[in-house]
Order: sequence, then structure tokens, then C-alpha cells
Amino acid sequence: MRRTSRPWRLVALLSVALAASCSPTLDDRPWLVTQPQIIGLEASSPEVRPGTAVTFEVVALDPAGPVDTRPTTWAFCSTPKPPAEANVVAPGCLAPAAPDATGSPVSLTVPTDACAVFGPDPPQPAPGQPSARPADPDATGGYYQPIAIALSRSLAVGLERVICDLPQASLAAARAFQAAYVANVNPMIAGLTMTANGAEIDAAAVAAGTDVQIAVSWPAGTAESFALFDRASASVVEAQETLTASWFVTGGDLDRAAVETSDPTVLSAAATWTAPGQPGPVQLAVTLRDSRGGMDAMTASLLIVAP
Amino acid sequence: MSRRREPVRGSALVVAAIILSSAAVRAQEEPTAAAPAHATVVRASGGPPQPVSSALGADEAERLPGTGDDPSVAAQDLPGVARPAPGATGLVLWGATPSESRVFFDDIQIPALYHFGGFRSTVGADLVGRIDVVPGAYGAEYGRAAGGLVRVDGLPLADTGTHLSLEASFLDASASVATSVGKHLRVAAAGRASLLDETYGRFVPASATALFPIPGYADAQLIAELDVAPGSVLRATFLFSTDHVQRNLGQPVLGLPDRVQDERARWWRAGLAYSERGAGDNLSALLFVGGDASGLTDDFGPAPSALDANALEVGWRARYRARLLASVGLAMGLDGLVTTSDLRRTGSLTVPPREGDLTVFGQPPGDDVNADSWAADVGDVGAYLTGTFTARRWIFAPGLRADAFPTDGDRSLPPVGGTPVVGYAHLAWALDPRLAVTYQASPTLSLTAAGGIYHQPVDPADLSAVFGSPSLGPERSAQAALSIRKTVGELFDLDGTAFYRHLDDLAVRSPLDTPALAAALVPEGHGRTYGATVLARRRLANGTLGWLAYTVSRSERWTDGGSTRLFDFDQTHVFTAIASHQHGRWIFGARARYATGMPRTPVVGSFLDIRDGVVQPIFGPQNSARLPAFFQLDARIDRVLLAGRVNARVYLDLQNVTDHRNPEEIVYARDYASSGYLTGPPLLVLVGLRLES
Repeated sequence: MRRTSRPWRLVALLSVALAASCSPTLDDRPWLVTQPQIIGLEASSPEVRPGTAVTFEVVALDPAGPVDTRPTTWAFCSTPKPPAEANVVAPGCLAPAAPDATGSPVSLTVPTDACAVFGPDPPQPAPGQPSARPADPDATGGYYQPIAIALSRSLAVGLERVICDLPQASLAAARAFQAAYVANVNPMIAGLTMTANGAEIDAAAVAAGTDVQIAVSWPAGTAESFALFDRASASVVEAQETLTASWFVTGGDLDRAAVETSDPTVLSAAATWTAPGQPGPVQLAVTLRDSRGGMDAMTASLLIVAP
Repeated sequence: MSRRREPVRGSALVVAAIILSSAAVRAQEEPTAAAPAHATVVRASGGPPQPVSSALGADEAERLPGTGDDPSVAAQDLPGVARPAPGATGLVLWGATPSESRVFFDDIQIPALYHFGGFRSTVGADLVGRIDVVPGAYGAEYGRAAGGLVRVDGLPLADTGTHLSLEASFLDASASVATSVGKHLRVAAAGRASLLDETYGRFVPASATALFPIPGYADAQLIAELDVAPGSVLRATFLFSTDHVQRNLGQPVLGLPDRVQDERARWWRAGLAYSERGAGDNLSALLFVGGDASGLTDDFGPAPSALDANALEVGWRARYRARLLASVGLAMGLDGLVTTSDLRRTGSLTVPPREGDLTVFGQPPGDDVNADSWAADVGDVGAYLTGTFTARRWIFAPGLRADAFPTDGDRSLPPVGGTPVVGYAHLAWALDPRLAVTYQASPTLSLTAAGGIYHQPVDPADLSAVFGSPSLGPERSAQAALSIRKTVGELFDLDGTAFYRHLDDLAVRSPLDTPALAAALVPEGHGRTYGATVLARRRLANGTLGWLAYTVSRSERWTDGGSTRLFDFDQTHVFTAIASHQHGRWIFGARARYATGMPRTPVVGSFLDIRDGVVQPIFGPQNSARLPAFFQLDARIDRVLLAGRVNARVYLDLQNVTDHRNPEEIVYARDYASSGYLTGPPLLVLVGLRLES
């Protein structure tokens, strides 16, 4: 066995002391839902041209049971996001003057000026004024129309991907992109399984304190490849979607909030959930998102019983 | 080496006196019979004295608590200097960002005073003779800084044989050698390399390194002096510095996936200076070249960002000083710097962050991405004229500086397909008057008023047509200071300075939701700082020295049409008490520091970004809250083990001996429902050993 010399032990001691005091201990459980909360958004089409009607349905969770989504309000954002804004929308989008729709699901038409306000096609300047700076796309080359969604005290922003022209590209690159690009489709959850000690459990009778493996699976091809205009090289390249599976519960503990993968051969992800120690109902939701704004979600009601 | 540590002989241990000088001394071109004797004790190769400055001799500074034997670190304890943010590589002088001030080593402009981490200087310790902090209102001999100056003077080399030194601590190891070659040539070299990876870095878990990442650094210096004529010296200087640091802002602190930030910086400078010394007419000239390479990579998952910059610099400085009459002196000079840069940047516009950005610690940058590569040449060609007129008790030191700021680049608009690239070139002029007036009310009391107009050329990194704006010009400031200095008895000095600085044409983020093309940055930023400093010091005598420094100030920034907010680094109160006492072979030192916490923007709510599955903050009024105040007590003990032909000294530098948990940042849970403070080190023990021959 290798011994640590005394000076190193001194340094180690000091280092541990340094480490122990630097970081605060926070209640950092983003997967725990303690009040009615929006956790996702399902759109009939995750990527459309401006002016297209899309059906949106909010995904929410409530510790008290099934969520009443009828009070959900929807408001398209009309304020561009400043380029240096670290959030996904301008602050003004979070407090709309009036909603565009109420309820869930709702059918909304993506504003026709989405590519002008949030994309690469800023309006023509007034005579004598300089041209406006086009918005920057996200890492997948996408532009998005934000939608402010409110339910109870939960506030969320959905982003509907819009098909816009390709800016800053040569004609050849633009043609190559148009020929290769396929609009995004939503990922699809193929199955949700819950097992304990290798055996599937009954959702209506989960023993308190049990460690449950919650696995979500999806079919092959869910993580799509897509054409991307790479600005650094000014060329069209092939990129791969990243999939993110997230878990939400209204009770108990999860060992992780999400699993992210960019490997198209990975077709499932799992988290370990420790059921609450007290009997009672628990709501569970799993979302599967792709990096181009598509989403699928699945919810389940569980009943915790005394072991 | 001339800064060789003397054997312990009571108060003679420290030869050079601390210089915390003020206006009365600085209004004159060179120390004269009217200047207090303490101003000339340290013989260093520095530039002309300045109306408002605080200087430290290296022999004292390196023995002060908290310096870890690096004299330049003691500059943080001088009046007018804000307590640096953790890891900062520069100083906040009178409410100016580090990038608004300039750092010089023997008048050679260098990119940063400190290595990454902020606890070691980039110019080493062994060849430093003096550190002079000029927080503002400086004379016409200098330019290119809307803020202040930090001047590190190299050690004058002595022909006293060959000297070696070795030093090692938990932080790093260093070595130096100085020797004479014949009667007229003296050479000294020094080098230092960090050991942190092998000491603290081996044991500190990642959770502790988000705020205090373990940096790797090295620096080297080479100085050669040749006597070319009686009183005339040719001095060659070579400086090299390299830094690397990697931090993970992800899982260890915030429970997020790994989010690695990697930062690198490397630079060198080579200079050749000629100087004539003496009370009469004299000439000094300097020519230097240098290269900078820096890189920043933020691997934040779906939107990685990178910035790489390479630059070559050529700088020059020449000054001819003539004493026309006993009471009239004139000096004229040239001062220039031309930088040619190649830069590449990809990722979010929010990386790297700028002063005034709304964000919280650990928040991922915006996920919008872009890319640009550009070349830019930025120059400052300046000429100046200064005078010194003495009339009875009055000393007038007017100055006038004219600068041309040529700027050209290869791309005036963002790249669009195969569209031909159109470059740009523009030239800005500035005429900056400066003035210092001193009234010597009595042999122990003087008052000085100083101020002027100042310009700073644009940063080439801001000239991107995608991320910045090629049309940016120089920034401008107006500064004024009023100082009073009183000498009390043989040992004590009292200094008081009131100051004001106004900044205009600062490059800031465009306040528009949709900025104009090639105008993500606009010259619409403004700022002001006002305050006062008080300094009470005891000069070195009987082995004891110390001072009390207090700065009260308020710094504000705003953009055209916007509301005024606090400057990101504003600190209302900064107080430092520091003392060192020698008793036989022992030297004891202590330092106490108090500073108002820096402003932070409160998070008043949050919302879910459904696409990315992350919660994002909703901010309250910008910089309307503060971190709690900072307090720290440090102690230091030196013990001389050997004194004679070989000197040996061991030191113990204890930082934060009271184990005070100073909040340095606010960290939020991922849903922003709860928050806490990242705190600084509870107790940092630094043990070092130094050998000299």
C-alpha cells in the first residue's frame, strides 16, 4: 500500500478543508413537482413554415392528481430577443398584455412574420437607416417562435421551430441545404416500464420506499440526422440530433433528472426512483426531447402502499 | 542580484523604504531637493513620476501578508484599488474595469498583471524593483488607458558578483540568477512555474474548483544592462508568461452535466531601452515587440463557444527632457503601440461576458450561435509635450498629448456567401490636455490638483462584424483629483485624495432588440466614479512599517437612453490595515481587509424553457443587490535560517486566519427556488522556502 508523505497529507488536509467550505448545499431537485407545473409541450408539428396552424397541448403535473389544463393561457411573443440575452426570450415576452388563446389543446397559427422577428430575415430598413442584424440560430441551425404559456403559477416558454431562409450562405450552399434538409418530427416514446428487483411492478400498488427502475424507450431512427449550415466553414454538414429523456415525480427521490444522448444506437434510458415512505398517490411524467425542439411525453399515476 | 536580501541587522533588513507618495512629489519631473527623501530610496528604472500614485518597494511588498512573496500582489492593498474578484487578472482602479487600465513593465505594455487565479504576477518576483499604482489623473507621458496605470519597474542590476536564488512553496517554484560580465554588462534571468496541480490540485475535489479553479502558469524574465557611456544605459528585456486553467461549472456545483470552460493565455515581450540619467538634459528611448495568443473555450453542450486571438505588437516610447532654467523644465516625447490581430470566434454572443451583462453565476450562455474570423490592426501614435514651472510655492506641470488612432480591418460586414469581402479603415484623433498643480503650503504640507482628458483605442476583439462592430472608435474619459499630503514627524505621512472620473464612448452591447447590422456593440456606454481615499502610513523604521488605507467610492454605468446602474465591480468601502515588524531573525506581519460586497442582480422569478428543459431566471433591477461584505485577516511569519554568504528564509503565509466564510458568489438551484453562497477559502496556508547566495 502506498503511503502518503507528511507534506502531501498536510496539503490534502488543507485542500479538503478548502473544498468543504466553498459550495453551498442547495435543495436542487428539479424533477420534484410540488405544485401544478408545466413540464412540456406537445406540438402537432415541431417545425413549420410561418403562417401554418399548429395544435399545441401542454404537459403538466399536479401533486393533487390529474391536471386541469383548461386555464392554460397562450401568447405568441412579438419582441425579438436581444442578441446578448442569455435567456431564450426577451423579458417582455414573459408578461404578455393579453393571451392569444386559452385552454389545452389549442390550435394556433404561427405568425407570418416569425422569420422577420426571430429569424434571419429582418424587415427592410427605412430609407437612410442601416440594415438590421439577423437573429442568430441555435446550434442546430434553427429559429423559433416563442410562446409564453401560463398555468396556475407555472410559467413556461415553448419554442416552435420555424422554417426560414438560410442566411449568410452562398447560393450553392443554400441549394445544397434545401435539397438535404428534412423538417423535424417529434420523437416518440415507445414504452415506459417500471421494475423493481428485475420484476415489473404494479403501478397501483408500489411498496413504500421501493427502488424502482423507470425506463423509457424509443424506436430506432428517433434521433434523426439533419443538414446543418456550419457558419464557421460556410458549408452544409450533416449533424445528429441529441435526445434528452427527463423524469418528473410528485414524490420520492430520483437519482437523476435527465439523461442526454447523441448516440443514435442508444434506444432507452432509465432512472432509479425511490418511492416515498408514506402511502398515497404519486404522479409521474417522462418527457423525450430532441435538440430541434420536438417532444413527446408520457404520464402515469402511481399509488404508494405500505410494504 | 541587486535586490539580494541583506543579512539580518535590525532595521537594516529592509533597505528600500515604502513609497506611498502623492501629489507633492509627483508634480515634478524628477525628485528634486524639494521632494521628500523617501521618494528616492528605491532606485528603479521606472517612467516619469505621476501626480497621484502609490508605490511599493519590492523588498517590503513581498514580505507583507497575503503576497506569498510576490511583490506585485501587494498592489491590491493600495488606496484606490478595489478588492479584486476571485481569479481576476487585473486591478479595478477608481472604478475602471481592468481592461480600461494599462500595465507596464519598465514601460513595456503587457496584457495582464496577474496570472490566472490572481495570486501571482505575470512578471515574476525576482526581477521586480517597484510597483507603482496610478489609479488615474496621470500625466501626458502615458495614454491608451481610460482608467489608470500599473507600472512595474524592473530591478536595476548591480555589479556585485554572481547571485543565485531558489524559492519553493505550495504555489510554485522559482529560480533566478544575476551576474556581471566584465565591468559594463550585467545580466539577470528568472523563471517560475506553478506547482498547484501537484499540490492542492491533487486533492481538491472538483466541487471546490468551480469558483477557484486550479490554474497552471509559468513566467520568465531576462534583463541585460550595458553601460554604453557614463550615465547612459542600454537595457534589453525579455518577458514571457503562459497560463492555462480549466473549470467545470457543471455537476460539481450545480448538479448539471459537465460544462467545461478552458482558458489559455500566452504572451511575450522583447524590448530594448536606452536611458540617460542625471539632473540635466537627458534622453530615453524604448522599442519593444511582442506577441499574444489567447483562447477561451466554453463547452456548454449544445452551444459550445470559442474565441482564439493571436496578436503581434510593436511599441515605442521616446522622451527628451531639458531643463531650460532652474525653475523651468520641458519634456517632449513619442509614445506608440501598433497591434495586428487575427481572431476567430464561434458560439454565443454572450461569451465572453462583458461588464453589464445580466447573468448569474453558472448560468449557461445564450444558445444562439454564430461564427466569425477577422483581422484588425489597431494603432496609437502619440506625441506629447510636458512642462514643469516652479514659482515660489507653486509647481505647475501642464501637458498636452496628441494621439492618432488608426484602425483597419478585413471585414466591415458579416460574411454572406461568396459576396466579396470589403474591409475598412478609419482614423480617429485626440488632443488630450493634462495638468497638475501643486501648492507647497509648508515643508510638511502640500496640495495638488491634477486631471485631464484621456483616450483608449478600441479592443481588436470588439471589431468583429458579427459579434462587435468595426466602426467602434476610442473610448474617452475625463479625470480629476485633488490631493493633500501631510508629513507628521519623521515617520508618519497622511494622504487624502478626492477623485472623479467620467467615461464616454464605451463599447457596450447594443440596447436594441434588433441591432443594426455589424453593430452588436455600440459606443454608447458611459460611466462615472467619484470618491475619496485616505492613507495613513508609518514609514519603515526600527524594522516596522505599515499603513491604513481607506477608499470610499461610487461607480455607475449607463447607456444612451438607459437608466443608471451600479458598476459591476462597485465597492463602496474598501479598508486595509497592514503592518510588518522585524524582531531579530523573525518578521511578523498582519493584514486586515474589509470591502463592501460587489453588486449582483437579484433573481425575482423563473420560467421553464420547454425546448431545452431548463429553468431560466427572471431578473430584478440590475445590480440592485450586493454580496455580503468581505472581511479577512491574514498573518505572516518569516524566519531567517541562514544569514551570510548564503541566506535562507522560510515563511508561513496564513490567509483568513479567523476562518471567516466570505461569500464570493451567489449560486442558485436549477429551479431558482433556492440559493446560497459560494464562499472563499476558509484558511489558506502557504509555506515557502527561499535560498539566496
